Amino acid sequence: MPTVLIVDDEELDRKVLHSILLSAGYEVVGTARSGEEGIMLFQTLHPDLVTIDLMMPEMNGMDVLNRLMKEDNKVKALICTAAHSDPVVDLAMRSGAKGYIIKPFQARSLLQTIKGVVGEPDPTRMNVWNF
Amino acid sequence: MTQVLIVEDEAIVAESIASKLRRYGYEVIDTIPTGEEAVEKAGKSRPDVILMDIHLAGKMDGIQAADRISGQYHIPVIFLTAYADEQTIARAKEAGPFGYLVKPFRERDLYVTIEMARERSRLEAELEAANRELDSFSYSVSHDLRAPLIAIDGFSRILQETYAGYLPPDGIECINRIRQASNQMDHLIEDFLRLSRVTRAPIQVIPLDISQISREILGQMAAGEPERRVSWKVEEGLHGFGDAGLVEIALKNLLGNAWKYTGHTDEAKIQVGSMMQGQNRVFFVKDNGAGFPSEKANLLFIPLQRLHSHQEFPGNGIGLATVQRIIHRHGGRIWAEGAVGEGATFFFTLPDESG
Repeated sequence: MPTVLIVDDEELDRKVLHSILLSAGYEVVGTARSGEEGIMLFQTLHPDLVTIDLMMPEMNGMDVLNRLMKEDNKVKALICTAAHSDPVVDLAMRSGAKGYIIKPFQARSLLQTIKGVVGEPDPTRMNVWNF
Repeated sequence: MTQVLIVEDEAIVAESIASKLRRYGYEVIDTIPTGEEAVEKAGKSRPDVILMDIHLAGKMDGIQAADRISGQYHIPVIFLTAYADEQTIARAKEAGPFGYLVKPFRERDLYVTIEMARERSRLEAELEAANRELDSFSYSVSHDLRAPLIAIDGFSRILQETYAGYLPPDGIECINRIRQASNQMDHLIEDFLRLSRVTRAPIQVIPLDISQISREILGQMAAGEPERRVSWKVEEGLHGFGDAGLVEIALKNLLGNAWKYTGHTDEAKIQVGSMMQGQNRVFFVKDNGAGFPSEKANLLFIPLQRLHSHQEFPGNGIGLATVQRIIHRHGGRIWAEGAVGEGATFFFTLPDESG
């Protein structure tokens, strides 16, 4: 089953994404509140996918992505950002992100993006959690 | 017409208040004997004002009921009571009442208290709406300003790392400048956001060990820059009252400045101490660094005002504005003394006790 690490400084966004992923059957192995924490958890958890919020204080999402790419250039990372046409989306893709997720989160489209990157979740785990 | 809810367990008293209110043109929507029912009724019919007796028939007294009501709804509560002992008043204060009338009271006082309570409640609601708007404004400003900056920095970085071979040295230097400038602006936006949070976050005043906090901060700074040689002296037993998080931010800024502005000083010295000024304890942070022209002391606390060039001492001019807001939010004062080349001293006061 694909494992996911969430990196986001906003508690509410972490919870929402966490519950969407859980109910779809993905395993969220960790959530990080800052870029620094995210990099640390990435090194110990080796998740199949990392979702990285762009707007974080101290270390922003691009900084985190660049660091992860240095650690492991095959890392599968998605950038979470507020706008489609943002030049940041283009930047993220050029810098090695596998895609992006638009905030505020919408379950259907974000699950489609994630499926495209790490494949189908475990069907037996679907809807185990109903938040 | 102003709608009033009366919470009073003695029917005769309740009726007498109600008839007075009617004479002044108020509409009495109900008279209720218990706190429990008052909370329920307040939620259902949302009166403009609630007059609340403190000693009530049920398990919940008037103070508890008022506490519930003000926690859930924006309805001003005025206490009407025969009790004016210290303990009751202290408890009543906690519920944040909009008035406190001791029975027997004059009709005119009742009228004035109700009108003042309504006005204050209206102003508070306005202020809260303005603050909410400001919050969402600064949030979107920070996001909308930061996203393009991240793009500028990121694309410059790609140029720098991937295409450096195609650029002459001068071109690479231009890219370095672009990245420096965008990082500087990113920090500026972050500091502005922090400043606006400092202004509005709720504060919780507790006893603080200023000596201990100062020593910790100085220790961290020394660990961060082991090549610097700074000697410091922190007076023992400096105690004050304040919000732990905010006072730490203030001290970090003051000590950070002392640290920074002694960067070009041989035998740098930083001192944290206190003195008495009349009845008040005044804390100070003193350094022997670059100092500032004494006639410009009042400019120090204005956001973005800098008395040194960025080359000489980096900074964006938000730190002391933040410190001033923190001290003012505690009801304290802050001022500075200094001279060019002779160092700076920042004085500040904190509340003597909580509350």
